Amino acid sequence: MKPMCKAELRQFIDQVSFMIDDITLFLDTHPDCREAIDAYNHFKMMRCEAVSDYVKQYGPLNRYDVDTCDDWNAWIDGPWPWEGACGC
Amino acid sequence: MDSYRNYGCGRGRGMNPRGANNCYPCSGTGRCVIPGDTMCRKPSTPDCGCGDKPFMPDCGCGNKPSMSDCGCGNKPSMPDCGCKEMPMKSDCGCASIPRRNNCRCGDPNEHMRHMPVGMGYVPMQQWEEMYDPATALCQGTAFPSLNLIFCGKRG
Repeated sequence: MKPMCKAELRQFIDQVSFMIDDITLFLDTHPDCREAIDAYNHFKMMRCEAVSDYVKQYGPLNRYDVDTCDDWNAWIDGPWPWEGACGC
Repeated sequence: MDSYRNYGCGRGRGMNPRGANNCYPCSGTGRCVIPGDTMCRKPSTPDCGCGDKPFMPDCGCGNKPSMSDCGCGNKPSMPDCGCKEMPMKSDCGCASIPRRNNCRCGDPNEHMRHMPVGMGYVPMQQWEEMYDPATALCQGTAFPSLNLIFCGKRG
């Protein structure tokens, strides 16, 4: 994956997350579709890598990514959504 | 010709149709229906008129047997009206529910003209090549066939 700035990486995570959302809706009615399962696994892997890169470079995306006390401080001190922290 | 002269069950016009055989009147369809009997009995033709075998209750085209042409484009003399064929022809005819999104009809409403009225249909989505992630998020769907145009008002 090519290097991305914080906003680009956040946007990429949103995009692949949306792909997973739509594919899971398809799988709800087509649970045996091999192509859909393969696509789901593909985008899930991409999302995991993207989220891992984001957390390493820019800090936790959500409370499940907080790893250390330093991370928790960064989590609290970082801008909150009402302070414009949406990666846009 | 009085198509009601012979109901096909051997009963003539004017007789009480609900006799020993419990034969019901044709109700204008030309078909005499004995409960449990799937034989098509339109008296003026050897079959129901759509070209299907007389032992099949109907060809699935949804058209009344009195119509000379069920719309499938096949001659009545053909044993199979072609309703079960894949919609490869320019007139997909009576393939009521398209098996593929790209049925090549050229008109997405083509199939609806051959479907029985009074029933609701929800065609099953088929797997297809998806948009790339950026396009998908922008369009609101990953599937091109679900990318319907909503004008925000009645079309």
